[in-house]
Amino acid sequence: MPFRRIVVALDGSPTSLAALEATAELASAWGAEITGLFLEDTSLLRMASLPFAQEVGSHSGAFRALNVGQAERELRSQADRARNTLWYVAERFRLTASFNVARGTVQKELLKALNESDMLSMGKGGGSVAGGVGLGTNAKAVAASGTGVAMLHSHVARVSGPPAVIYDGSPSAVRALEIGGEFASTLGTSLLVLCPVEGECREELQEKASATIRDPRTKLEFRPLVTRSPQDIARNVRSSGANIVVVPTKGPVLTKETVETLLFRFFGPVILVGESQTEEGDGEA
Amino acid sequence: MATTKELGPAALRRTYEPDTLGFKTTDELDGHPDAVGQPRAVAAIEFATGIGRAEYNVFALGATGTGKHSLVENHLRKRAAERPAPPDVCYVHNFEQKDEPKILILPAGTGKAFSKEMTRLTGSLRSALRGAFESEEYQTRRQTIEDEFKERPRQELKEVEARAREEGLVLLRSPSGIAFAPTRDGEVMSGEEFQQLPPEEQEGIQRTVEAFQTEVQMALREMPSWDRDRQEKVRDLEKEVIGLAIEDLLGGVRNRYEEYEQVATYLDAVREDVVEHARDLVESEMPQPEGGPTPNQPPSTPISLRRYHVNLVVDNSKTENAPVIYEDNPSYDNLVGRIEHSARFGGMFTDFTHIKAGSLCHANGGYLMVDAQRLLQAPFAWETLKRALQSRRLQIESPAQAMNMMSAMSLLPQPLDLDVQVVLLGSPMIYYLLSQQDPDFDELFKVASDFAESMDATPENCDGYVRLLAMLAKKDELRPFDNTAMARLLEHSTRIAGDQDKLTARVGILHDVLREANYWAGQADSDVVSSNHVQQAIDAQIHRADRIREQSYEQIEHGTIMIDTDGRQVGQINGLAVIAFGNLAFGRPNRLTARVRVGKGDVVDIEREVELGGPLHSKGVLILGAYLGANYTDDKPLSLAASLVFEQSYSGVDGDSASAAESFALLSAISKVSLRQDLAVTGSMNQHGRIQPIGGVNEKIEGFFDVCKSSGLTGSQGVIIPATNVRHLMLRHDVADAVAAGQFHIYPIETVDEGIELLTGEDTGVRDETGKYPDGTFNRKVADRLAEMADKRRIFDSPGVSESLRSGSEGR
Repeated sequence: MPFRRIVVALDGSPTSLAALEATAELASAWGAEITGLFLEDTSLLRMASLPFAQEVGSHSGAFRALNVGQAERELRSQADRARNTLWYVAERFRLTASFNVARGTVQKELLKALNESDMLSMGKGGGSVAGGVGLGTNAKAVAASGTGVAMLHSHVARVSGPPAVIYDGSPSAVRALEIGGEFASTLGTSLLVLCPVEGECREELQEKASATIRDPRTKLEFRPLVTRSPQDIARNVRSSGANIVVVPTKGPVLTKETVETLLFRFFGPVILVGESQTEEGDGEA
Repeated sequence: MATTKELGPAALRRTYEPDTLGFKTTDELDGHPDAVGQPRAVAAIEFATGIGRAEYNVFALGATGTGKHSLVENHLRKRAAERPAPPDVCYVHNFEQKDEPKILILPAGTGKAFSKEMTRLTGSLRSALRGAFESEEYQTRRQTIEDEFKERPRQELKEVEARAREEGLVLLRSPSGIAFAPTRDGEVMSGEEFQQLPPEEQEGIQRTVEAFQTEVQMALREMPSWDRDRQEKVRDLEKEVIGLAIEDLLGGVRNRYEEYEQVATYLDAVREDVVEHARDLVESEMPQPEGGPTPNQPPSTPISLRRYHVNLVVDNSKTENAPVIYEDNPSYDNLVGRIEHSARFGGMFTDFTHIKAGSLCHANGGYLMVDAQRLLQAPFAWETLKRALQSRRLQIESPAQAMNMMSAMSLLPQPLDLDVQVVLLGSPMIYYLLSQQDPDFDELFKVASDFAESMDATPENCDGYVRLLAMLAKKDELRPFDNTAMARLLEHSTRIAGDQDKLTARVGILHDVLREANYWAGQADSDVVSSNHVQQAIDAQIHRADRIREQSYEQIEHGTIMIDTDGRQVGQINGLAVIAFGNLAFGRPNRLTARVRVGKGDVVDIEREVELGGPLHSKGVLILGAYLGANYTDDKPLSLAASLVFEQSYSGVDGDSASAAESFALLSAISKVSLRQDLAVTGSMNQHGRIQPIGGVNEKIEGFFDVCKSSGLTGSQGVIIPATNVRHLMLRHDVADAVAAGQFHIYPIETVDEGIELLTGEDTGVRDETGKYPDGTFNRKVADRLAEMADKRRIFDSPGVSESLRSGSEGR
């Protein structure tokens, strides 16, 4: 099993709670350990130290004076809620869990967690200016990093099959295929393999894909993937009947815009698979 | 002296000649006689079902085993066959008032089909909704709306953010709001760094920040109204897209049921509801997390597709005619129906699919049969049944709801209009009690179907009776009964009826004998049941129950209970009593004695004095005193003190059937003429000395016969009975045989004098014109003794007799 340690970014947004639920369910099946990660934004604390510091309430629109102590209390309170939620979910799924609070720049800390864990799980909406609605800047940053494995969730706290994987034969896609295979095996479903029709010979791709899957019980279903535009890809994935999609973030087919479109348009969990550290290491060597 | 003629064997029992029955075995009989000997009861049922009005419900009253149930059911089924099957009854969700499910009444079979269609439709609904939500059209239009509306605040904030950046500021999200801060080298400026800035610059930054904050505030205050607009547009879009999708599904159903207005209205409501809750319906497909929601998630109320199901509570798809239902266990729930609950997240949940119909609902449009006693024993059932019959509406609710005892939320389904005739089956006692005590009863149960306990043994009734027994035997798959068996069964029936001209209507008892005779025939490897098997069954029934009778006779045989069956005694006679234990009644002789002395005319009933005698027995003794006074001492005061007692009687005595025997004992004691002890007496008497009929004559005669037989029949023994009881004789074969052989005698008497002559052998005498009985006659002896006592009394009461003499005489 490739996922032994999974980090779940908790910021109190609805999508991060959905991420926690879904991750706990998977971790329980895999016997993995989960770590809740709460990030205290240093920029916010610095802002709070300004003599005129004040905020405008997200819902009330009212002005509230802010100071460092108050900002820290608010962050601590938010962290406590995140911790309690983590314990509650971990107990329910009988998981080994830990909780970390890190202080720093949010995106930097997320990328650090992405590279140091087997998988980073987070909500799609984190960091959005509209309060967790839509695709947040944090999700975009993770998608753009092109490393590690990240699972991004919308509001749906559910992981059910079948998973689909976009497979273009690239090294990232091979890894994505392996991960898709793990999901299919765990969920007891077939794996939908979406091969770009404009890419290399599909038969060859299919043979390569079949050889990659380790679990002989996992049935592969190959589907063509129209890749004319990011919208085409998103539409194709949605209409394939998949409830999860595994996306290689570095490859000939999927651009940054395509990945963001998929993240925005696909309701179910999206697993972004970047280059592994080993691949990077190999490259550097 | 007039001689009382004893009865010949022919008068002792009615016999049925097998050859006159017209068949060899019951295999030759067919047909289903359904109402033998119950014309009154049948006419009542036919009348009630014919008039068919709601308040003409029926109470079928009669003793157990009179065939009430089968007869009523057969007649109801006949009537039901003339009526069409009633409609199906369905309950559906009420979209306007969810705790008041609506009722749909559809023609028989249509409800089931409709229910299936709605279940099928529901099965396709979610995928249709998902399809609609995932359709490119919806997605694109929805996305356009979302983009348009999300973009507005985002755009506003982005614009503000961009302008702020130009001013050297950064927009930050705090846990509860939005803030701005100045930056230096890409980092947010700290308070210390800010303090180091020149005061003018600080003021400038502060003013800029405040301006941006005000701008953000304005934008945020607009957000709720933008969001409302967005929701409105999304709702309109969903109504349009989902409306089309649902119309595809509902259209076919609507066309098939367009003639039913109720269904059309319901389908319109379904359509509106699906459109309204389409998003919830798709999302409710998502499984609830194990253990419920997390602390930060409020518990959701999933909208279940079950709300579009149809709960078919009465399915008449396979019913051809009006229903006839017998409710075996008429509890409140079984009669009315119930609303079940299921546990969900630790609470009790119910909805219209939990409504279950009761037998009133199932019998609607037809007939419901209920056992009255069980109904009255079931809490709340009787009152509820009456209320339903009075209002002609059935409200399915729990008893706690009906009594306003429950405050928890439950359902109040729309009531069902009732069109049912109820037939209660019960004993006459229950009928009369209800009629007397319950003012509603006579209003609701206007027809009494009164089942007689016996019927005339006419040739027609005998024929029908035999056919009925044959039918029961065939129904139970018993061996064929030959004509001797049937003749014996008819005799047994007459014996139970207690009248030579009657047959018992309690066919249930005969039904038992049929089955048991079949068993004995099987034991004897016989293919046909004959009279000996019937007799064996009857004997075995008696034997199983007669342990106490045997013990009682043993006590007489051993002399523990003293009964003389020969010789003569003064003031002593054998009376006869009937003792009943369970299903067995038997006769037993009782020694009855009388003692007399001078007194004030009191006849003391010792049983009464010790409170062992009932009022009827006391009445008999008082009549006896009156007879004595009027018959023998009409010109003098009755000056005796007499006492009467049932010897060795240790329990209550009631009835006046011993009053004749008591009079004989008393007259013997007065006259000092001894009485025959080989005769036993039963019968009541009136003030004029006429003997009146009594009950249990057969058991009494057989009881004395058995006691005499155990000590050896002498040829002189017998029983004196009222002449009016002769028609009730249906004695055992062995008794009749003994009479035929001159070993035992049955004497019917009409007057006390006839009894005296039989018991004493003396002429009683008739008063002459002077009012005196002839010399030497029995009555003269009685009159003389009473006159003697009157004289003694007169002397005793005359002035001058000392107190001491008076007190001394009292004792003699």
